[in-house]
Amino acid sequence: MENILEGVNISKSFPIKGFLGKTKGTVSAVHDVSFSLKEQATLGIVGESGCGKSTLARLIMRLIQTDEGKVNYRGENILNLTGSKLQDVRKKIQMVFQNPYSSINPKLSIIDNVAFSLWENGVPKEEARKKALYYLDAVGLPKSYALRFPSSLSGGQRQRVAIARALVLEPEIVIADEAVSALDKSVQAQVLKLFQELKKEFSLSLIFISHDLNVVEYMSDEVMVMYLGKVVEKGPAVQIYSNPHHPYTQALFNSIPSMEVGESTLNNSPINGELPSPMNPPSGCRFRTRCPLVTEKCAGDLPPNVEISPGHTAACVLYERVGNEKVLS
Amino acid sequence: MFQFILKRCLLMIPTLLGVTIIVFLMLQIVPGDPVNTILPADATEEDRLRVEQELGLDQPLVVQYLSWLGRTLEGDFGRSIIKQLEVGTLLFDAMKNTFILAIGAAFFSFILSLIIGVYSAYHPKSWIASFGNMIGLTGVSIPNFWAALLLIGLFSVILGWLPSTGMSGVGGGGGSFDMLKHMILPSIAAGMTTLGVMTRMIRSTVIDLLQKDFVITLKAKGASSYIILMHVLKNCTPTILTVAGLQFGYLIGGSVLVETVFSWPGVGQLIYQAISQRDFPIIQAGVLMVSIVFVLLNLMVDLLHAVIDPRVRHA
Amino acid sequence: MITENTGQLSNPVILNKEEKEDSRFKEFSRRFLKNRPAFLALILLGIIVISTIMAPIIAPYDPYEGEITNRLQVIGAEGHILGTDEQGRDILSRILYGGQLSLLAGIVPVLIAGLIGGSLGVMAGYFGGMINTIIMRTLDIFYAFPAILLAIGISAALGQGIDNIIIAISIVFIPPVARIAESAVKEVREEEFIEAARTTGAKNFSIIRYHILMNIFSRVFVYCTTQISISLVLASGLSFLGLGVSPPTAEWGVMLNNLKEQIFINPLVTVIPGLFIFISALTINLVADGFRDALEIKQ
Ligand SMILES: Nc1ncnc2c1ncn2[C@@H]1O[C@H](COP(=O)(O)OP(=O)(O)OP(=O)(O)O)[C@@H](O)[C@H]1O
Ligand SMILES: [Mg+2]
Repeated sequence: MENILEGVNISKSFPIKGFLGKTKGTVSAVHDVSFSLKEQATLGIVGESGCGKSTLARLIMRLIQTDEGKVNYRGENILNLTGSKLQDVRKKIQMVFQNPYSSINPKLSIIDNVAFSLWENGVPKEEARKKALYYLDAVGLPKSYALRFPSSLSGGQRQRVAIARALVLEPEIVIADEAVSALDKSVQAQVLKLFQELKKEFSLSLIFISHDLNVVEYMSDEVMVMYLGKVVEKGPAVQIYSNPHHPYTQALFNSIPSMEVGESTLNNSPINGELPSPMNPPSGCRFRTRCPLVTEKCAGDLPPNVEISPGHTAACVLYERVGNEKVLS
Repeated sequence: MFQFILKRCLLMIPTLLGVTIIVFLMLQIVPGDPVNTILPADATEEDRLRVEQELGLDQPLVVQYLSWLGRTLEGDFGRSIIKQLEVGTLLFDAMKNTFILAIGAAFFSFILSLIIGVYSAYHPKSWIASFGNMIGLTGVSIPNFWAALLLIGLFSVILGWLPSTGMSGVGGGGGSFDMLKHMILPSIAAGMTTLGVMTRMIRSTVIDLLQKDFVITLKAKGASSYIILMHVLKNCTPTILTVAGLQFGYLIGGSVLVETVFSWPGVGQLIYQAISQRDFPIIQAGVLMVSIVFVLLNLMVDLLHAVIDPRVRHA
Repeated sequence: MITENTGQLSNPVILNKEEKEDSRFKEFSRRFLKNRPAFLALILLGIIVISTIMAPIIAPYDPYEGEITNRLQVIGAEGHILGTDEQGRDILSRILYGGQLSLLAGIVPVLIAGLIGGSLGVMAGYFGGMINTIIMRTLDIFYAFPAILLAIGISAALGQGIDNIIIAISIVFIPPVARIAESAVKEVREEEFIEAARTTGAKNFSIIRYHILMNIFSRVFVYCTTQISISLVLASGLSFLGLGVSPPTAEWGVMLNNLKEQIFINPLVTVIPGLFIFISALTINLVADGFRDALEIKQ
């Protein structure tokens, strides 16, 4: 299958301002990240809080400017598009945000929250509302809710509104950034299911961001694991979950209560140590300060991206010798 | 701490510069030619040019501003057009009197608001609490110049208890007791707003504190109400001092109207006379001087706050 | 902006009007009406405002004509319920006519400051960076002046006249309104729905109009209502200093100024004009408090 979206070596760091606007340092939020999203597939992105997942999403959405790298939509770099071309691409990629209490405008009615995107794109108000209503229906909100205001909706319902708003422009790609983490477990399941259904119905390609490994496993075809702004491991979901290679991925899987019994064959060490400050991340491999298998080499060069099996790579020196992928276990 | 003081003082410089610019521009928007107010009606065109040159009015605005700023920094505020006196001297005496009135008003309003505020926090159902509510509302709504007129009507004209004008009795030999008597009504009138604001503020601060854990613990331990009161007062001191400091600033700046009603010889009275005589150098210098005092008072409040509450320094 | 909102809703493409959600306004009125003092204050204020507007109809006398022989009548005097002034003019009539100017001088500066200060604050808050620094630092300077003194300085420089008083007070109120608007915008700007709007390619103008303004409106509105009473008192104060209307025009502040000389003859003569300033300011304060509580805004 063809890649509908590709990220190539994307980097972004934020300057930290001190007194009188002097730059005190920079936070390397996303560093040299590459990914690819296949047509009508789901790419899951996991990682601890602060590892740069949202920043990556914002970079793709062009909400913030990238320092380096490219984002290719159907082979065309969208980062330097302007004007109407940019507008066209914007409609193709939409986003569902993390916090349903902050992501819809409390002063607009539900239907206008959804219709706003349309009438900003030149659709007459009447028509925009009709279409909005169609998508509200598609996400399972009763018609009678349309003229209500967000304050009378529950978190799950609000997230449905946010999803309807993302869909109303008829995008091909939807980026869901922690779209369910603010919801109750039972509601989470409903919304996840909704995503699955909508994906089929509207032939969407999804980027699904979460720190919840179970959620990502349930949703994704491909998974990308991030740590402190870098990709440490990526590959087909089945492979990553059954056979994680990077010590960070292994540690991550260890630290969650597994859904299936007998699944946790890995050694039972939680991630030790503190998350280093993103302002001066460790040299070499950024995980080395907390890695149980750290070697001297880790502090030196950047860890190589080793292909474990086709499409499955891990950025770790342990696998550097080709054909010797079973160093561990 | 030293760094904090330095930082605050440095930040004050642009503010003060801005103040001088605004005060300078104020004079520029005066309609009509300032030269006309100086020249006699039958002056020739030559006279006019000469005066313009003397005053530097033919220079660009920036140059005029800088030379005005230079003179002001040296303490030369110019001469009153009408009184033909140094504005500086006039202002200095007036400022002193304004301070005296502000202190009187602060004394009246701070003490009364403390008593009413604390009491009504403790006894929210008492009549004093209702009275406190009323004071709070009245204070922020009443025009203080009207309050001044009412006080004169009642206490000077009808009852004849207290004097209604000036700082001292005829002949001026009354001494400090005489001045105190003259201060009472103006202080009340000027302190009205402050009384309202502070009563509201103190009451709500104390109510908040009374619900804090440490007070409840003290009560549970059986501490006497006197001890609890002392703890509460100690804890609300920083807030009260800050607000009090700011209010003192408002008293200095806000007594213009009260001063005019009582003919209190302060800056306000001076400015009032200057307005009716279109004596702009006095208005300009008066506004400038009071504003500088106001800025300095705010600075002092900030520093005081930082001394009492070290968290401020790092904010 | 509120009408704007309901205007959009009343567009019944799909739903019948019955289901239209105007319950937010109902909720607001319900809360406001429950607040007794605020409600009564609103009624009293309404009476004052309407009476002054209808002054030409209900005033018993010409506000400019008086018999000097009939001067300084006390309150309750025959034919002159509120007495007469130093020129024998009917005080009630002058109060009614004068109220027009006094109330106007209370409201107009707040409207002007609300518009200008609000726009400056929104610009500063929304665009941030250099624009913010320039706007907000400039406005900060005005905080160095005691409000009344700044107003006196400006209106003295501009010259006598109620219009100049209005300009002066507007200038005094612009910085605080801008500050409130700016901090409200900064808060709203962090919300995810702003980012969501930007991902759809919405223009700054529409984002400000639909997402920012609607969300800061009630805060700025409530703040402005609390400033009306201050503006009213300030305006009458400037007028009292002789900076406002010139005689014989009636206005509450200038009436006080004229009557203050007579206080030694009739000690109660200043009660009435001041009372009207006071009651107006008081009721405005109560109403503003009611608005604030009903809109659940903390300040
Ligand atoms: N606008 C910004 N300015 C400065 N630093 C930022 C900014 N946005 C993000 N960061 C920093 O970049 C890093 C990555 O943040 P990001 O929000 O992308 O993490 P995340 O993986 O989405 O975390 P979470 O799971 O908490 O949402 C963090 O250290 C964060 O502090
Ligand atoms: Mg995030």
